[in-house]
Amino acid sequence: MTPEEFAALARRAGLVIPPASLEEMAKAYDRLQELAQRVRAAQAEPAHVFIPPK
Amino acid sequence: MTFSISEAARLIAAKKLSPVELTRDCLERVERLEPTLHAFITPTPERALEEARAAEREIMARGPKSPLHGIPLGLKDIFATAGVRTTAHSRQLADHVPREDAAVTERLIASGAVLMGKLATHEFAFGGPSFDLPWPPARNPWNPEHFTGGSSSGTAAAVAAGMVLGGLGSDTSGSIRSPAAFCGIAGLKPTYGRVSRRGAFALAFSMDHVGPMAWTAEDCAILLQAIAGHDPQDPASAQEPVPDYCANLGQGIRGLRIGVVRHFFERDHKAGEDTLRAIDGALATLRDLGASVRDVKLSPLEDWHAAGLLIMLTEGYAVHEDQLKSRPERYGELFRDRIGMGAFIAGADYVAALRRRRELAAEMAQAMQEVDLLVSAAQPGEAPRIDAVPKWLMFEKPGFSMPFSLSGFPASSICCGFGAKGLPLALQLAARPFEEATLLRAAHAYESATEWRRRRPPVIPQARE
Repeated sequence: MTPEEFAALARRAGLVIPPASLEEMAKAYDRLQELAQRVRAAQAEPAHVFIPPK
Repeated sequence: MTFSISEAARLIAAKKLSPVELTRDCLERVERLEPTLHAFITPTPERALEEARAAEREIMARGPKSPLHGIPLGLKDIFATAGVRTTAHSRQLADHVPREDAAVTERLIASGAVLMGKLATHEFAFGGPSFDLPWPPARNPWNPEHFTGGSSSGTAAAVAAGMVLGGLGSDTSGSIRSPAAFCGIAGLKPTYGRVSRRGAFALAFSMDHVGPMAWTAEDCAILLQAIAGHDPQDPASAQEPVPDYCANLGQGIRGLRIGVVRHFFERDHKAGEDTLRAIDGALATLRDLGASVRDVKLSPLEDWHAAGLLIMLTEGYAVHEDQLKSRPERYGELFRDRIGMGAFIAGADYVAALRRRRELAAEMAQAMQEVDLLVSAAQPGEAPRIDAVPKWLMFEKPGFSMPFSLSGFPASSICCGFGAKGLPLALQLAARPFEEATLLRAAHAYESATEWRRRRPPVIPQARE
């Protein structure tokens, strides 16, 4: 992702990213996508449960 | 003279050591070393002396009420202390004075401990080492030019330097074990739910743990005894009974089955030669003590890292979203930029990471049917220079702590030698849920059989050899 694309994404999320951080955060975003790819095949359920209070 | 908690407790009980003198000795060390080590955010010397005097009176009249009675301890500055500033090492909370104590603060006070003050952390237990906050980062007592690890940086530095005899940290992805490893002390992340988080600033609700940090595993057992137990005000608090963590500590490890997750530190994230040698040496010692040692295979470290980081960032961002949007300038750069990445994780990916966690935790439980403990490296090597810690290190390389943070299994870091630069190396031991006693017994046996606990950082001139 380019720093410009990342800046647009951040604006949509309501965050103002300092210009000095844009390039490295764009790289970190790419890395997060790689990590997300690793978990997407997970099958286990229930992953999270709600237990009503007694 | 520096003491472990267990040594000091024995002398105090025998009325051969005064809590007041012990506290003064620690305060003198704080005064002398703090300008270099920056371990404290808020020292509380008057309170410490007052509590030490009260402890001394009570002990002289009725004996100690616990092994922590009269022992100087410190708290990472994310645990609420009524009437004492609690900042999370952040400008956001620079003037925050809680009205109530955290659950663990209450428990330490009830045990008679002496509160020496609030200790440095990485900003909100995640950000450091940062140089743009109101307080500098803590420095490593073995060499102040080097990193302490984090985020429980001040607790580790203060314990290693003998400014306190023990303290508490929190651990979401290694924040007890990383500084324990780099500063050469013992640190234990208990089972998820073992210790209440009430009154501790959250980083990631489903991965936050509170645990002890001290010079020895035995001291960690004493501290855990004081803080473990159910708390209905922490929704994740477990109802499991609390065993006596010291009862079997000295019984040795003959027959214990140890599994080495070798691929974590030999392939997935290759540790340095010094660390590999130190781990081999530690495994040989554990074998000599009567344990059986075999290799165990788990999913690649990167899988644990992926699920853990996605969960931690998403949950951490949820805690800070409002402030990140409205007052981002009140955070340091490292915390703001790192936790801000949580805004860009899709809900579906967060749920996928939770599902993957369930699979991985089941895999670890299965592996631990065949062994009693798992061993891996705690860190890939000695502490790096504090000015050479990459901002995005956590994103780039999977850490050895994450598998046990993610699964919630108890894990500890203990010193297993020293590297070429004279800085500590460390071993990570992990056990089945709620089997901290087994873990601590093995760690104690190892520490007792080796010389590493006799070496203190050079900032303590009277280190015992």
